[in-house]
Amino acid sequence: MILRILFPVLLIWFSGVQALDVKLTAEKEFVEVIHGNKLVRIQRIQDQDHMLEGSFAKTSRKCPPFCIQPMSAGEGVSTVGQVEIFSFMEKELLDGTGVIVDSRTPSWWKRGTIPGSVNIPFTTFTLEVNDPQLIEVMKSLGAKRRGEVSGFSRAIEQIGLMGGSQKNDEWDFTNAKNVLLWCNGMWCGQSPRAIRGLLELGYPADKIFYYRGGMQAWQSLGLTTIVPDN
Amino acid sequence: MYFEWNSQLRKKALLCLAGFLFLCTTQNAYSQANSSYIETLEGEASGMKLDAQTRVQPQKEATLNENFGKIEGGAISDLSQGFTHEQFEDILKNNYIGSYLFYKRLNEEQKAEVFSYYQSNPDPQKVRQKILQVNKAQ
Repeated sequence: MILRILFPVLLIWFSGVQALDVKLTAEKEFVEVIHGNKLVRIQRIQDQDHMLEGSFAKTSRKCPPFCIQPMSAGEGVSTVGQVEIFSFMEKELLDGTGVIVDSRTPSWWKRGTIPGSVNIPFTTFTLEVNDPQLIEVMKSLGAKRRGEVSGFSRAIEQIGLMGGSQKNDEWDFTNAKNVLLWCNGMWCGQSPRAIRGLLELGYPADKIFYYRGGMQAWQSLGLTTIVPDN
Repeated sequence: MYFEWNSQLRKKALLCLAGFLFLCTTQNAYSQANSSYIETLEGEASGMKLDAQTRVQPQKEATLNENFGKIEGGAISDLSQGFTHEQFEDILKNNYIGSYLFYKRLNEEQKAEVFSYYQSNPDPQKVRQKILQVNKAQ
């Protein structure tokens, strides 16, 4: 009888399948994402006595420019938290309908990022509309630069026909992906600037998601980070 | 008459010049503020350090394609051959990681359904679609 109870327990123990004590959520221990050509597991630090170290333990930075950001980054843009990011990673990111954007400048990115993110600095979205770099970035987000559009076609589009609600004079957002942008956290203005830039380009607000907690919240929860390969 | 016309023209020219100067000044101030913002950002970034314990651990990170072609029985390059269920899963894992991540969330019955589909449709795109479809039906 004892053996009957002990055997499965021992089997689990020796097979090395041990549940994590510090999970992401009650149901989820970790999520896996593809970063570059690597499969990365995102989980939390398991040491329950660990105190945050490094730059994100700092409470104060000069404001401006490091000022507290409002909850909303733009009309129609959704603000999300970590649980929504895990879900985004498991759905949109995996099936290619979504992109996670680290909108900080490259000097921040190269010191460590959230796995699964790509680096598109906020400055990109203020480039001239014909700048090849902007066109390339927008293409990676599923938006297409439009060629010459006749006044007649545009007039039809403007009354909502021919998929006009997803187009403007410069861009076609018909196949635009869901974009989740983040930066250093509540005190960081880089992703809000990127979002404003995207909105000015006409990117549909309902396809933009703002992770306001950013790296600050990610670090304080002891979540996995990765230093990108150059 | 000539004097009036000349005076109006001069006024317009002056207004244009003032507008131009205003634009130049604000544009210049804007770009100066922008570059000062970026300079401050770069300064802060230079000393930035993440908590070392949050760094991805080597065992939790696997390079994709590391076992590419290492399955016994010959090189694996696509899904076109009739592999066993186990080999099929290995190929997915090592070559089609996105599909594999969806696949591994399926229950055994659903995995068998996908494998059975693969046997008659060994096209990676079709298999991927099938995995997504079964996944959605969950």
